Amino acid sequence: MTTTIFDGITYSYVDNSPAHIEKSPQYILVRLLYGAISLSNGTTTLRQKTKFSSIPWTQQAARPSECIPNFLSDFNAGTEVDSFYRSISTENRAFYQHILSEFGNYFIQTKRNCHTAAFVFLYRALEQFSYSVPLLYCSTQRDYIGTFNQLKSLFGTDIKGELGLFRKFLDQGVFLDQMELDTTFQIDFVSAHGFQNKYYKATTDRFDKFTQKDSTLSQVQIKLRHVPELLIAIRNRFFHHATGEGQNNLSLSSVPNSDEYFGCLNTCFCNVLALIALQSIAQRYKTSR
Amino acid sequence: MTINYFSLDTDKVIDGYVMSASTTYDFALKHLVPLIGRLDIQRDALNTKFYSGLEEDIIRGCVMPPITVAMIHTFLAARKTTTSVSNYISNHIDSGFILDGIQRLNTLHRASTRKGFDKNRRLHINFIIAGSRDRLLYRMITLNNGQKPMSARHQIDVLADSFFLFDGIDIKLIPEKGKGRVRAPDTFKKADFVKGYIAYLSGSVNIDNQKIIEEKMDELIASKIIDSNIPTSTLEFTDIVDLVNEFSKSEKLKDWIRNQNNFIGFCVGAKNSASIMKSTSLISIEKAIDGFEKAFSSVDVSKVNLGKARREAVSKFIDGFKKYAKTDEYELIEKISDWI
Repeated sequence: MTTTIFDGITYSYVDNSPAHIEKSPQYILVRLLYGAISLSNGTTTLRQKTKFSSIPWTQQAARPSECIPNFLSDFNAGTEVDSFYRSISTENRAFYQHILSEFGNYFIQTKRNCHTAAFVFLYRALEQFSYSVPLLYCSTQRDYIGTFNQLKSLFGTDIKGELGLFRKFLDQGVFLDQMELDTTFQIDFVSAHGFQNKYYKATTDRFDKFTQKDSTLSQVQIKLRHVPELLIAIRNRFFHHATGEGQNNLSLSSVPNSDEYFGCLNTCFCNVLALIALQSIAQRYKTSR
Repeated sequence: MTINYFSLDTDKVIDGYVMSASTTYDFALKHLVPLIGRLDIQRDALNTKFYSGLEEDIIRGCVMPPITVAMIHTFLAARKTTTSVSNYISNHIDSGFILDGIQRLNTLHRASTRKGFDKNRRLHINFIIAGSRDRLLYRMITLNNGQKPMSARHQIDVLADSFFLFDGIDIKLIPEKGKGRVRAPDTFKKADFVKGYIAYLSGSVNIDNQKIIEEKMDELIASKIIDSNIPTSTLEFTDIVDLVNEFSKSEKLKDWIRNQNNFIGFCVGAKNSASIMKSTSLISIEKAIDGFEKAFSSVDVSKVNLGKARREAVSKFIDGFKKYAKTDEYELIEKISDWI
């Protein structure tokens, strides 16, 4: 068994991947998001078996050893497994270690059914992506004609902060393609305490970009391109509760059991963030030879 | 009476009767729509976007395939005449079950509130009358067992097979099975052709993506086709096939179009420029394609997903063929890097 520790979380797996590759946070991150690793923080241990690289997420059915070849082909990384291993160990370590730990903590909190806490890590990951991923992407493009126009359009308009920049970046359809951005996720609000309609209403009252809403089934559908906005909207409404500003913040009477509520949403958020993380890794290696 | 009965048949297995009939939308709305949900084993009404396409079509006057209504009743041996069965149906219509067609009726219901709805148009119905609920269930299960909605891709696959007969023209489709064999000149992989057709229908070149699971992909393609202007367009896919056949007269273009990505991009782009291209000489098209290839070769291939980039660029180039055919190389390079 191979084990490795990053930021207090132990990751372990059994297969014959190259020695020392476990020191690379990117490698561990790919395995984690592909559902081919176990992790533990000492008190909570789980095996991550959901494949967050597909749209929507599915159960991982492939053998763990196939995860890297699958990743390279799914994301069109255009590089061979060996050269991928060679270059993955040294680059952007700090950035991907941060991202790895956000996802690691997310899975651990989810396992504990602490979905509100788990959500925080997803939001933190999104904030880290917002600035870095567009830059990472542009740095991989050597075709300056295109990049200039992209940068110009990213920075040139009235953009509100880093998150706004990221939204614009995603919307261009160059990082994730238009077909992927148009795929819809279904979010079902379910509750063991009969709160599903409250959750449904709390969400639809504060976000209007769902492609479909069904109040009887407490179910909404949302395009991938709008998922980060939904994540931000919910974060802004739930993690603030100043009453004076008239911001329509989420009170606990509209979301009576916040863990249950975030449990309905988190997997979808995690899926989209995982796709962004994996795409950013694949994008990087498109240029390596 | 507002139901017209056509013919009666006996189902010997479930000891029941099958009657084909038709009625008006008006009658269906009053008597059949309320039956939705009577049978607790039935599916929920789906309120999906897919049916909004049908809703439009109902207003525009489409004919829907027959819906199936089931009833439970045992007739006395002497009374199985068309009249007695039809009388029974007419008198007991409100105790029927919608066996097949819930989504169609629901959509009809939504369409009925819209302007331009003609309540006198006809709805076709098959009635199944069985002796017991168990037998009815048996019929439902034997009919629908293993039923999986036919995906858009599969339907197109089947259609492409039977609609486009390439006898006598210069494209020979080879099925996937023959893939391993020699790539003979003039042949075209059938799978590529179907992909081109799907791309044409959906107006999108990104029709295969390993990340998106198949079911979602089919859903996406279907929604793109529904959003497209196929029913009102004067162009047919055969027009594009004709163009491709024209191309095969030129060695250069023949090789060019046989590339899967070129073909797919072409199918999408030619939607807007087929008529212009038809009236352009092959020599000029050859020249334009040469110019395109020259510009495209400046794209740094290791940086982008080449296949995807090629499809995208070809579709945009062909789409604006009139404009771009004469654009000079450097301007075209800039355009291409904008597109991909």
